[in-house]
Amino acid sequence: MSPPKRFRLPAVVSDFYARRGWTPALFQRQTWAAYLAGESGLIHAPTGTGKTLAAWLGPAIRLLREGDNATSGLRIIWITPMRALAADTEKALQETVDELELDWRIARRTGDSSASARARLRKSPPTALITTPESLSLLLTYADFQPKLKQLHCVIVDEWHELVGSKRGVQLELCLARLRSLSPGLQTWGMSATIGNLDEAADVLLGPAAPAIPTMIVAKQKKRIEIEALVPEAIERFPWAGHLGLTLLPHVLPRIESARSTLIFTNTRSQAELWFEAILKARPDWIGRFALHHASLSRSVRDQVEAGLKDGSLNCVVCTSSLDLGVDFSPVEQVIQVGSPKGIARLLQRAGRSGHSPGEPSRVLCIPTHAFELVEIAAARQAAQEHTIESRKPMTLCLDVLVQHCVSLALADGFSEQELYREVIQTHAFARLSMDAWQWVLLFITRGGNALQHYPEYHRVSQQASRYTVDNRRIAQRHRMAIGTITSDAVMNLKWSSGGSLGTIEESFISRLKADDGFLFNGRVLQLVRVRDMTAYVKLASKKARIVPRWQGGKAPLSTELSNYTRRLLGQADQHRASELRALRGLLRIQANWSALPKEDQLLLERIKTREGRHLFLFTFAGRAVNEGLAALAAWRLSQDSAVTFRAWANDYGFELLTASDYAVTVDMLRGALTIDNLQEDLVQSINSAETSKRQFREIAQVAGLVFTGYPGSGKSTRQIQASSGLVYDVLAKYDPDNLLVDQALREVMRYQLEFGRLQESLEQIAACEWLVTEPERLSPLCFPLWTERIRAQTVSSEKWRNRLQRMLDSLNRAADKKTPRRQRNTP
Amino acid sequence: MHIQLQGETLWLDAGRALVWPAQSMVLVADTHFGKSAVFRRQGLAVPEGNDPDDLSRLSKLVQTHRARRLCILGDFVHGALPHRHHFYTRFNQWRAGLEADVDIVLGNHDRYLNTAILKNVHWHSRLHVGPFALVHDPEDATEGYYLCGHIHPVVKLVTRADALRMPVFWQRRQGMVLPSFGSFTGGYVIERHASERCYGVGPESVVALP
Repeated sequence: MSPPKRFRLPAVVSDFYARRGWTPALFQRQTWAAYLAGESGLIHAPTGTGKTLAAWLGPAIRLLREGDNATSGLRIIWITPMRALAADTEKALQETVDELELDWRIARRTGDSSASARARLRKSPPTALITTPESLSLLLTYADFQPKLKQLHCVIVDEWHELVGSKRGVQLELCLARLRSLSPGLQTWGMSATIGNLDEAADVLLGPAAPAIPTMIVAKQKKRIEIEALVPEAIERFPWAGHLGLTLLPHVLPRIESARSTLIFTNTRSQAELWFEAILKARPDWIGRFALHHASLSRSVRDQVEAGLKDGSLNCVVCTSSLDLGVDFSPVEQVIQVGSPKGIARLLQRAGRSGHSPGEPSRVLCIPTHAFELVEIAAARQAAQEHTIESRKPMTLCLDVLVQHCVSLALADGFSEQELYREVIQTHAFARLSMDAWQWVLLFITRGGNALQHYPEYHRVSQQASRYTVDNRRIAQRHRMAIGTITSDAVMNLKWSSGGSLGTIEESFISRLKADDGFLFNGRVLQLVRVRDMTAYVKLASKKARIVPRWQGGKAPLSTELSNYTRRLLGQADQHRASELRALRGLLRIQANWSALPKEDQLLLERIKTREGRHLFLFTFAGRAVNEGLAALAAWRLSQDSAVTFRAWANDYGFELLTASDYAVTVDMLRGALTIDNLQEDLVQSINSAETSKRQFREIAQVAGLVFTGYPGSGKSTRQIQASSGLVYDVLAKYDPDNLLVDQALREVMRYQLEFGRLQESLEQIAACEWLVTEPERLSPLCFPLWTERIRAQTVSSEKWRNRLQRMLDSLNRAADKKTPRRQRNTP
Repeated sequence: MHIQLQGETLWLDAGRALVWPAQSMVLVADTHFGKSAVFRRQGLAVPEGNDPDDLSRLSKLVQTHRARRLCILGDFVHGALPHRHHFYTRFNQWRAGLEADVDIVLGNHDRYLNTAILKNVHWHSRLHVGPFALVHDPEDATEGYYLCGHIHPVVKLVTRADALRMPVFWQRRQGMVLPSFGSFTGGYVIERHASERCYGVGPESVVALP
């Protein structure tokens, strides 16, 4: 960190502080000094410490110094990842401007702004503009806007950690490169919460061509964070697995009652619905002071809940990651986390929502939903104490985003090939863009690539000499509507049949509902009346029986950092002093007696025979994504030598392979199937590559403009589009195999879905570890969660269709013959 | 595989066709020709591809079974095609080379089809042959045992150890639903009544499901 530079604070600013009885914090002064010295960089400060003023007042002081004529034209762009944040930011900035008696205009441009407001804004831009990455991209498609950016001084990016690991981040990098070309000398400042790779994040924001290394400003974090688990008294009766975990509710209720205000975070929307329902059932008198908040509830409901948190009229809110960032309400007294947080950064961020009074630590109470989550909670605490925290790795070479960006710029005023290439490689994401890939992108936007060259509608951009423009109004209109990298799930609007909006729900869930099925939504049991134009109309159900919707998005896998700690703690469980591990000792003894408890450098393989067939359970503790990849790889390699069918499942701890009882995999065979040789090729073959990359391709196809999601209100089903982008993939893969977007889909599956790097490390570990092989008589505590939850089965088969079908039919017939199924012997 | 239906012997072909030897007839349903053009109009970047393949699959069926008559049970095309669309030329050329009668029952997707451009085809809204009513939508059948398409029936079998999804011939009390023929068509997972039978279509064979 640079030492604070000396400069004189303008009187209006010191008065501003004096009137409030504040003094500028050290990190604020450091930021202003660095800004006035012409530097760019990153501010790392927790929420509620004055980081907005730190970032904002630097450019403001500069403008103040430069006098009156500085107020014409756009000077500052403030980027925020969330629309909800934009309003709060506007209010905060406007307040300072009013009080400093400045004649500046502050305006906000997000997806919510009206068309006339947008046009006005382009014609006479404000001094400071608050916007999102998508809206900024959209503004850059207008020819009349770019000239207004010549006097831009500064771009401030709020919550940069939320953007850095995503395509939205890549989109913003490209826009920033454009802004820097339009206004050389532009300064960039980011703000970030704690992540493991702050330095890298700063480098990405400023780009590899930045004139100086980024200045890092770190605010001293005074607050302690305490992570506590609710340890159940009788662990034997506590579930070994399962995702509901309402067992501990009676112990949670008094904790809620003892605090003035509580936020209860859950990991999924379904879990939030269940907890909300259960708490209301136990405490019906809380109605009115207790609410639910998740992303599928309608905007107005969420706004009400957020307002209720701000004004203190709500005592308790059950929520999901929907309240993780953004909404700037005063802190609550207590935060409760239901289930493992799955990541250290996430838990710390949630904990930070509580106890802002001076000297008080932030506290989070974790409620395990099954036994082993106790280990994860203890692991998160230890990792936090040792300052280990997850990184957000920036994405690179996302050609879909580049395609979109190029069309955007062609739309505005056209671009020249060489100039834009030089600009694009100034971003971190495209610093290593090859000339070939660049030429392919240009060919793709002008000719549609090999497969689509016969269809004029895919000749989006026209080329004259080395200048690229868009001449067609319809293409322009379509492109502007499709800008962005956030692709939506197939969701339907949910409305009362009597009128009034409730929120959204997955189309696939609605389509599986039978006529009088009830389902739980916002704590009420609803019944479907009819479906029309992508809207499901519902009424209150007459029956009590209900289904809990499963929204997509599901659970995040255990982070690498947290799984490493979990594995270590499990290996030390017999001496570790943490109360969570002490409570688990009984269960771990069962694990050791029935099978074995692996140390940190050991790998446990359990081979078990049941009615279902032969199971292999291998515990790598590598996170669900990696375990899915390992399972697919092992199954595919094993199926190469003989005709066999595998079913495979994975969770954060390990994976399971199941075969028919007449086929046994030996330890040596499994070891051989988990070697690192030829990994890339085999993995591509084994991930059932078509299926998996097709899913990834949906997103790429939308971003790159291969799929048009329709005009607003046109009612075209998203599912239709999703089904269709699978089809686009098939056809492109068949008729245009050199299409780089198809290639990108595969790369993204490898890198982000299967976490290739982590998978490789995991294979190295598997080879280096001592293998513990056990043959327990029944399912052990470790494999039980994997067996009961069994999410997303993969089937890998080298058998003939007829043989597989015959065996399935035999087994279905046998099952039908047994009128009453035997009780499952393995249930503890 | 061979089955008996309404006193007739029928062959269920793994090429998603029903063959009626006594009438020297091949029946398919839901070819959805020109689907890629319709997709393109809706904003999906799909190049042409499947139509020529699907036409040659039809010729092959007719030749293999030495049929004198080919019947398509509706949803012949996927949607409105422009007058100059090359599917019409392609179809007419293919038709000229096919030595069999072609009967097409019109389905709901065919409502904008300009039948006049297509040469040498008998068009029907429904057709009665022997004991069977040949229709597109089972709801259109008023009398007799129907053979129809429209539904694109698919069955999903799942056991602990395996999972398979396959198009099926769906034999119901009042009629038989054929699997969809077009290679760009999806499927609808049916719910089977205990009295109904299903025949799963695999890569090389058709198998009766219990």
